Amino acid sequence: MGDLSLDAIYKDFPSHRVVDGISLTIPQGCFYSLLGPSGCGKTTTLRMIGGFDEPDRGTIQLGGRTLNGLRPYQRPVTTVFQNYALFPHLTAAENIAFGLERKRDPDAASKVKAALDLVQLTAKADRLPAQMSGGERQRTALARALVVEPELLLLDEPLSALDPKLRKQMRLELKELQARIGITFLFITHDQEEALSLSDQIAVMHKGRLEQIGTPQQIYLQPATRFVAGFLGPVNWVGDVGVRPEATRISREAPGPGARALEATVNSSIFLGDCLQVETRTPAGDHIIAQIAHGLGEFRRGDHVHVWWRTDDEMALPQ
Amino acid sequence: MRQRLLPLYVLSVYAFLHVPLLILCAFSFNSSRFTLWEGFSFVWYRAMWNDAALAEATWNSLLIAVASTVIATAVGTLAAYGLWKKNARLLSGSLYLSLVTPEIITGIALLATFQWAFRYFHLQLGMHTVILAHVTFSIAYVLLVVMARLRTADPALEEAALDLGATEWQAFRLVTLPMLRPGIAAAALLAFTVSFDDYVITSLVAGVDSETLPMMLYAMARRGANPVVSAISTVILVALGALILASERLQKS
Repeated sequence: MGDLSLDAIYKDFPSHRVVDGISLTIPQGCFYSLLGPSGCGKTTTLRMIGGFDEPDRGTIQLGGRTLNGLRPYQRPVTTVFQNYALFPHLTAAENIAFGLERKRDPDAASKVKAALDLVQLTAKADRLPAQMSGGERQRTALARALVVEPELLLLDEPLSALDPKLRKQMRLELKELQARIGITFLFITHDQEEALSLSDQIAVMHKGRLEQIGTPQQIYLQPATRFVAGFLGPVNWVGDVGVRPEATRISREAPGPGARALEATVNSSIFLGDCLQVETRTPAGDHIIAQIAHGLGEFRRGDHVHVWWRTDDEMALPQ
Repeated sequence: MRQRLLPLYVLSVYAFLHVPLLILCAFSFNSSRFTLWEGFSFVWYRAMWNDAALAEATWNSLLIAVASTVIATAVGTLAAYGLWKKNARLLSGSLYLSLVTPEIITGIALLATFQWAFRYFHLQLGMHTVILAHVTFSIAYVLLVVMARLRTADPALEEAALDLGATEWQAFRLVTLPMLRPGIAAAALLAFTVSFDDYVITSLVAGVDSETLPMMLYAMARRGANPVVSAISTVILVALGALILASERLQKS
């Protein structure tokens, strides 16, 4: 057991560099997310940790032991694959037993039972993957990877194949599970909401490089780059300054001192259920969007308004 | 109007395809030697059963078909696996070349190869050359069927097996092979049928001791209408038909 550390990892594909000098340390027991758009190199990074690809340069260590050059079956690391990769000819219980049987574990039967219980699949133990729902398959894949007691669990967008409602539920279950068993989870996702809600630490990746590492709060509230700011959520940009729509206020009268205010004209006003989204345009041509609670006034196209925010909420990120 | 014409059209297509076969079957049960119905009889089936040369040819055909099927299925399956693993598109595509090569050309090429090889080895044409030839053309069929199955397979399955502690060999044996089993069985059945009914290539590379059933039937048919030929043909049709149906069902599962 111990921390996972990547030191200056590079990986080239024939056409381009996929991973461009990544270094990071994941503390033991951490729920760590690699967040980035598709093609940013996060899946390749995960595959190098799992042993499915080898880095061209750089070292991967787990608890001080170098993993480079070890085959996947020699690494104390398991993976929950994007489409689960359950063995179609084996039942849920047999899928979960697969890893234990490779190790000739004498307690395989009781461990499979406990794993089924952990993911609440005891009633579905004899089902084949084709006879299971998306959520059940996901839980089987999770149990199959956890039952061999890895030091590190890799999760490759494990929620992306589920429908939105189930995805939110599984998110909670995943977080709870990790807290209960306490091993390190490395979670790969392109969904910023997922990363924010699950992680202790997030590393944002872009074009093979790390843009920022931090807690969800740091990443969201103090983004290090314009890319991070924009990837984590919508931003109103005014010159070198950005502000989130939910921190942006709108009123007919000019605000008091201590706020940065702009005059603007309302373009549209859209009811989003939990808030009202008012899109405005300043004389300088900047689009400013304000998300405000209901009951803070009604705005129509053509209305002259003031948009403003507290300077504390500003993100100063030069272009 | 169209609704009435369509069944009629289908019926005529099926008739065009199958009436000759039905006529052949019917006359195998005719008590007369000639193509004139005289009465129902098993006399030609009895004659077929008692014909020693025919039995030997059938035995040869079965032996060749089984041997070439076993070899072609094993080699072809592993080759398909290799092509899939390496994602070798060009090599996979070139398989179609061996399927569209006219049989007579494949046969002549094989014969030329054997004769060239015999200059250096003290060997002759015989069962072994027929089996080798059949392996050659069966492999392409096996490859195509197994590749079709592999194309729908998730490459992450083997990675998942490795991830859970299986070695490469265990991943192949415990995950890929069971997944491919229906495809392999279908490929073997197909290889068996193409071997069993091959005439052109076989007749070119066969030796004196390796006359097969299609070769014998051809020789018999050349000597004029023979109800024994009809009887054998009927038996072959039923047997191969059953095999093809089995192969189809396996491919679907």
